Amino acid sequence: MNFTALFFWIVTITVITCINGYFFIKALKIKPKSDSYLSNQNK
Amino acid sequence: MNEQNERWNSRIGLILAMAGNAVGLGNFLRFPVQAIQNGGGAFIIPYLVSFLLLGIPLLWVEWAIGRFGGKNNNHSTPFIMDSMGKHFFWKYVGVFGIFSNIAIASYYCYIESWTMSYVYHSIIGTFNGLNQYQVANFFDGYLDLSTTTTGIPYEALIFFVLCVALNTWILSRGLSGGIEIASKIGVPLLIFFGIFLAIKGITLKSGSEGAILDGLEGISFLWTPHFDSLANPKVWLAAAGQIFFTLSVGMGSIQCYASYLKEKDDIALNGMSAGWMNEFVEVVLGASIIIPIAIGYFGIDKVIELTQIGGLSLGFRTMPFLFQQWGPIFSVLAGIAFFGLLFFAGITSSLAMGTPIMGFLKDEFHLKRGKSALAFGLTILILGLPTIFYFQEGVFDEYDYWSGTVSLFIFAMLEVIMFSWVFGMKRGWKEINDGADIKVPIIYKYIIKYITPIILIIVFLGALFRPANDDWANIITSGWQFHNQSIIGQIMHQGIGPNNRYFADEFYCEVNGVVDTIYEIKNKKIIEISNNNGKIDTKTKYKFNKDYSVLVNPKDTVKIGTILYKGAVVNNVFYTDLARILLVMVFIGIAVLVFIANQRRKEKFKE
Repeated sequence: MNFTALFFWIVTITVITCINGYFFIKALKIKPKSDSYLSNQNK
Repeated sequence: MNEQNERWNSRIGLILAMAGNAVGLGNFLRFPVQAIQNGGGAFIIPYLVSFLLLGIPLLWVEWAIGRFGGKNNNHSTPFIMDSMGKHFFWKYVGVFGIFSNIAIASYYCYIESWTMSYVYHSIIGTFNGLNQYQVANFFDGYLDLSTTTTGIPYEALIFFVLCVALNTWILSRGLSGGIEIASKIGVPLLIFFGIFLAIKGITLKSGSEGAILDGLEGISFLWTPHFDSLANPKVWLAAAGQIFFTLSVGMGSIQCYASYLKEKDDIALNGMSAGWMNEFVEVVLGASIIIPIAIGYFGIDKVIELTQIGGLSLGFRTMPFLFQQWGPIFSVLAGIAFFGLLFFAGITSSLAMGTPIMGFLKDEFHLKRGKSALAFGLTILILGLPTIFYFQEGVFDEYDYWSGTVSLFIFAMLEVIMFSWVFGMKRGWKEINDGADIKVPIIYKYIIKYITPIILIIVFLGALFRPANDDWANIITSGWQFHNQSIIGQIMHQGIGPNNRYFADEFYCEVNGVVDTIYEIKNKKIIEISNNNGKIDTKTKYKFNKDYSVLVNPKDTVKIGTILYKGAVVNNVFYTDLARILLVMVFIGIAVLVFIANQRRKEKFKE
């Protein structure tokens, strides 16, 4: 087992998961503009 | 809802649909193979650099182009680009944005139909008790015309028709009533299935359930960084190519989806969210399924060998066999999860491919949603049939190469040049930032204007002039021979082998090896040749009319050019050239429709 590889893997998937989560949650939290097509997101 | 005022119903629906468009079979089958072949863990470096310099800029450019088009009620690239480029030339560049979707959908739906079929076969237990060779043979037989009595591969055809019908039905239900609902169901389910299989793959234990290595050994193998590979241009080109394909840029579908946004709707954050979700599925889940599981059962050397024949083959010819090692119940669950996730990844992409032509037909010819969906369904049904009937003759690969690779690069290269240099980066930057819910770093203004077009031009030239063996370092000293897969190599039919005429009286062997067996199935004769390296699952088979006279015997050593049989032979090059002509005709056909639509617009304007 190559521990450098496992370290590399853990760092990469952690960073990508966090960035993905950050943008996804941010997008869902921001209220769309009132005249937006997307304004009824809570329906 | 008025069909002319179609819109997204929710932000999460939009993001999931865009992410579903990007997430495809390549996330699970292509990425891990590319990583293994291009530096292991070190591949992630050029991959992420490409994502930052090529992927994100292209996503923003395409979202911006789409939303701009929507302002003028244009929902497909020909007239969106016409309104941005102000020269008739751009209208016809936009044809790529419809053509690629139709041509890709016609063979992509075929792959999608395999996944439907494999879910079905996993449930009914078709693979139970089969060895690896038999599972691989099942796949070959599934795709093979000659194993049926009538010459029609009923099952493959039936699943293909079902798949096209399902796509057509969902598309006919519209953006919010069809695509958005499908994405809200499909994307979470595929992520759930992916997590289930990734955990199972990573936690595989040597000695348990027949595994010979821990799943973590597979992760360790895949992620071992070979930093010396970073000096090889091939690795950087492969990373740029992977980013390009995985994000579904250069197709015209992102522009179409974005055209249903309003003028001040955010595109910067939505684009980032959909793009990073694709990266999560690809890097976190995609890399943790087929390679750890395959290495757990086959060991590293065998998997290296299997990756040479591609991820698709690894997925369909090998995985059902490996799942069986998990017992009767778990193998069914794993089969449903794996092929189910591939199905959802596929359908959320193929639905996106249907929207540009539907948008075009609705905008320009005022077709109702149902009729435009039907037009798309019938077109891909007809265009897809040659890929089914002449799969073995290379028609499928031909579609994939020209529409799924070359066409995308050309379109992306031209659209980013149009956006940043013709439309103008000042206006372009304003488009990206209008309504943005995040601050877009100013450096991207310059990346989009200079870096992204340069990378795309380099990647395109790299594909055009790719040297044999990817030996970029020695092109000056050892001469510039083109790779068989380079665009020039493909145009010249390079590497086609000895059967290079449309019609011939004899058929030549295309590999070196030993004749294994010669047998008859129904009205066909089959010669099986074991390659010299003894790969059991890459045995070469030649099938032909049983009336042809065979000139070799079992145990004969054959080499490339040895005559195997005599008869009225129609070589593959005939079919692949017909496929090329067909694709060109489709492109011209769409261009003619664009021309007619333009004339109608002019007449309307005069009135």
